[in-house]
Amino acid sequence: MRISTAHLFDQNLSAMLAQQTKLGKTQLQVSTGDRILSPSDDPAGSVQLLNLQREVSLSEQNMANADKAENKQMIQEGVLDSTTSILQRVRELAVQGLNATNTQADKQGIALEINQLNQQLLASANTRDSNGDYLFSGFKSATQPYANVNGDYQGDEGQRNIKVGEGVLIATNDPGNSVFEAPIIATTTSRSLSPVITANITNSGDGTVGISNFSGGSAVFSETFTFDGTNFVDGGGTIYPYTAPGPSSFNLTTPPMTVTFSDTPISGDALTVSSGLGTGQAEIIIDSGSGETFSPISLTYQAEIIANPVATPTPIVGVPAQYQISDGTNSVTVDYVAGMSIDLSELDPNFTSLTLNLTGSPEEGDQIVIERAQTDASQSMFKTINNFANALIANNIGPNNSPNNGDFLTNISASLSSVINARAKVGARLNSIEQQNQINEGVSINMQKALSQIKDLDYAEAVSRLSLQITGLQAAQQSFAKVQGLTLFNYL
Amino acid sequence: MSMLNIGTSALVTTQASLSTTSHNISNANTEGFNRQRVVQGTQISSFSGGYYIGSGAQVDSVERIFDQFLSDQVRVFTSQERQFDTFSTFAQQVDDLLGSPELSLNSGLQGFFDSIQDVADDPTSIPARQVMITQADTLANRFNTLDTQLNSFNAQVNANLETEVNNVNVLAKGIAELNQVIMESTGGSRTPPNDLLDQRDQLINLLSSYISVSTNEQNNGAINVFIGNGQGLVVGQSEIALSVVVDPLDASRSEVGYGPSAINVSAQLSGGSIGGLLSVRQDIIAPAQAEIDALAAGMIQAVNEQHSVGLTIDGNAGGNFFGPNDALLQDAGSITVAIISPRDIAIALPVLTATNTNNTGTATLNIKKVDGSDPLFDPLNPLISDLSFSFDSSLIPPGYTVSYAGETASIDYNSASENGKSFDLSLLVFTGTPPPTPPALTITLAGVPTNTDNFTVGNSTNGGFDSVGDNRNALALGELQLSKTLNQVNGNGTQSFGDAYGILVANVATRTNQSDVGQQTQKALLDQTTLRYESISGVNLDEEAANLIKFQQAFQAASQIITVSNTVFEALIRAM
Repeated sequence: MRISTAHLFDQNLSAMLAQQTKLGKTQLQVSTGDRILSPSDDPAGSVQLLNLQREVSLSEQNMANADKAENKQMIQEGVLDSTTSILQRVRELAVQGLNATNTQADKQGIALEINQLNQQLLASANTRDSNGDYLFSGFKSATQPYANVNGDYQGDEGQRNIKVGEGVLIATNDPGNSVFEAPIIATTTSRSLSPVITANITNSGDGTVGISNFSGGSAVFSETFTFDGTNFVDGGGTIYPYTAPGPSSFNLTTPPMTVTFSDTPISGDALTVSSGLGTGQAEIIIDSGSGETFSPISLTYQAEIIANPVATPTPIVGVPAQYQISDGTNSVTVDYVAGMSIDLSELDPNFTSLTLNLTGSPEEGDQIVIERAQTDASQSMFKTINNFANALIANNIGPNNSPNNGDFLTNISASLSSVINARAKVGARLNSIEQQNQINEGVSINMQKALSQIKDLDYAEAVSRLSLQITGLQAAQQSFAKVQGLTLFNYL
Repeated sequence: MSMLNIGTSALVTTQASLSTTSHNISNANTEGFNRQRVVQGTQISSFSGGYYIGSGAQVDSVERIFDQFLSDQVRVFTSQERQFDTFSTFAQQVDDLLGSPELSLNSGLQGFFDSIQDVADDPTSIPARQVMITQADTLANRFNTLDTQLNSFNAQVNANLETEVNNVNVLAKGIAELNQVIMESTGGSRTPPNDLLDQRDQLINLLSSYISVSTNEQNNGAINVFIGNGQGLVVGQSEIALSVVVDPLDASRSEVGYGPSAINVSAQLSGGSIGGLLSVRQDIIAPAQAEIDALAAGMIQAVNEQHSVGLTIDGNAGGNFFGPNDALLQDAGSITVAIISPRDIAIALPVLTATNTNNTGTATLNIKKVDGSDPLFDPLNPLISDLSFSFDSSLIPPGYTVSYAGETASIDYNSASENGKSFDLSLLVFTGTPPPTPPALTITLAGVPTNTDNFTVGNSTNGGFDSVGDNRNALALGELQLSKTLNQVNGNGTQSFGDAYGILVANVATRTNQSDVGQQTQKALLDQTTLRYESISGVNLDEEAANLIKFQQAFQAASQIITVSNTVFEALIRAM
């Protein structure tokens, strides 16, 4: 084929320029270390690159989040750790304080220390993080969760989550009411008195009053009805119209009961309905007993039957005064001697283990009910401890002055287990974070590896390509110079 | 015929050959030059005494060595190569723009969503919130810059179109003028006006680098040049001018107009740099602009919808995070950050759950999603009353009784098989006439409830907003990074923001890559065809040198004829 001289020149030149362009690109690759200089160099690779970069950034952010989550758990863990040891110390002190050998001064000293520890507990619950946010007030992080030892929880139940992996959220706070509050046990004793009717000794008529539907419980009351010829009038001036011989019934509100007048009173006669105050009350002291809950136990008093005055021909031997004790399923009767001490489980092994001290002069039908149950609402440990310390100072540890000994130890244990639960949750979260971090790191390393494979230059290949291209360019230049020298005109 | 005359004819023809060879040598580097050669023939022999005696040589014509087919091929490949070249030049700029780490939306999006995570980690931290605003600004700026750059590419396309159309007009005029001269000089002449033809072919070649052309040679020597679907650019000795017109539908687009009435013929044009400009705008710049705008608008809407569900650190309604507010104006060029104060970032949800402290079961109730898509949604009062859930084991099947605004409805919940069940409360049908509009909440039910266990969901603003540590809306905003919100098919998004950007980069990169490869292919074809064309029409200096020697020797030989004729003549004289 003929060759056009000018075209040969052009062709050689453009071949050299093309070589230079390639060389330039290789050189840029070598100097930047990047295989892909612009997306069009490898469209599929560069999109993969974008996705991988996103994945790497995501897992890096997840790891940063995990670090923060871990820090927050550690702070909480620290607070809960000190809370646990303070609570244990409070419990030790309480055991010591309940020891009957303590003098009142000893008890006050112990109460003082308990109070100080309680302040520390309160400070723990009101811990703030580096942002000045309260750790234990839920979403209300600017609100102090407990204003004082008797304060109610001011926060809410919000739990903040931090994202530590795709679809993996870790809670970073526990609301204070789930940590520092526990359902508490309270022992209560309630008396229900049987109403007493007394007729004024100066009464000249035979008018009587009867009581029905009485539900006054332990309320102490006394009401005197005076007959003025047409009405009974009570102490408050309320008028009850009455026409002999009755009967006429009226409903009273305090205490709720129905009084029924009958027969024929004479003007000036007075009838009194009362709780029997002054004639003697049943008293009960719970000496000891574990803090377990039990179903209500009722003690019902039956007065001594000395003799049956009507009985003929032989007087019946009197039945002594008795308490009938029942917890709804089991029932037992004990003779009553004022000041006696009884252990219920000794009377009947089905009863709960409870030692009672019974005193006072009860009336027939008087009833004492002992209950020990979990209250519906949880109470803050600060309040529980404060109540105990106050009782200790006032030397007021007893059945009718909650908290009593067994209850407090039970309650402080409940608080302790609530804190330990919270710690367990924190520990579990720390574990999850640890595991997620391993996953994140694994993902990150794999992604980085894939990223590097796509993005990074294979230097060995690139450098050998570079020297090949340099050689090629040199050869093109040298042959160009040589070929251009070849012309017939040289020989003319 | 005398020997002298024959010698003279040889001298004349040889001189013509020597001149033509010299012409070839001197034009070896002239663009568009086709080598010429003298077509030599014998003169008419004289008949004398029964036989013919040769009477020497003559120049029949001077012709150019030219192959019309190869010339047409060169034009076709020139047009195609130039189209790919122009396309790839612009496409590479867009490609570099989208791929550059400094401008890439990918890292902008990542920075923004990372900063949301940081705010979620520490919801009350003002510095973290400030960083989120700064990152949002950076992201908005990247959108703005991309928009500006793409607009400037578009403007460059328009400017180049203007220049190229002018060049086409100049060339068309030149071709028309040459047609005129060639028509005049061809008349009656035996020899074609080779150099004029070369010039005209060269102009047509140049024209084909701007736009794809087809030609049609007339008997009178003129060539008609057509573009597009047969629109005549040069007809005989007159040309029809092209012009640049603005698209009436889009003022940012220039189009090519044809003739005095400037009819828009852009759609019919292909090839050359004009074809490249039109197609790169069609295939790269305009789609990239549309994609970036759609991405910006989609992101503005998704982020705003989620953000306006929430409450700020001061308990105010979140409102829009990105501007502008008018949905019709939302695109990559206009996106701004609407939030100025870090306190105004709304990362708290407008509703709170309260678990009754007397519940004895392990059940939980959480808010999964608050739907703010209703324009009337008010984050300050999303619920018209407290919403209470009470588990009722006597229901068949067992479930929660929901009370809202004095009316009731129920949700089945089987803790054994439906633990973690999500339920969209807006599907509830309450009692009452008319029943209250159900709340736009999705809840998650988990755990084992016991009978009468209950939960209350109320407005966060109840009794004054104080849940400043609530980060649930920040987590929801963070979720947007990977959720498929864009490119809705049947109401469901199919792409996340990152996906959409990746697809855009991939499209541009693939097309750029294709155009690079196409350009190289066309270049190779053009080179091959040019080589073939040049091997026929190009000047080979060695060949010309050889011809020079050949014709020089022929000239010397012819001179000897004169000398011999002189000697013969002198001998004849001496003999007299």
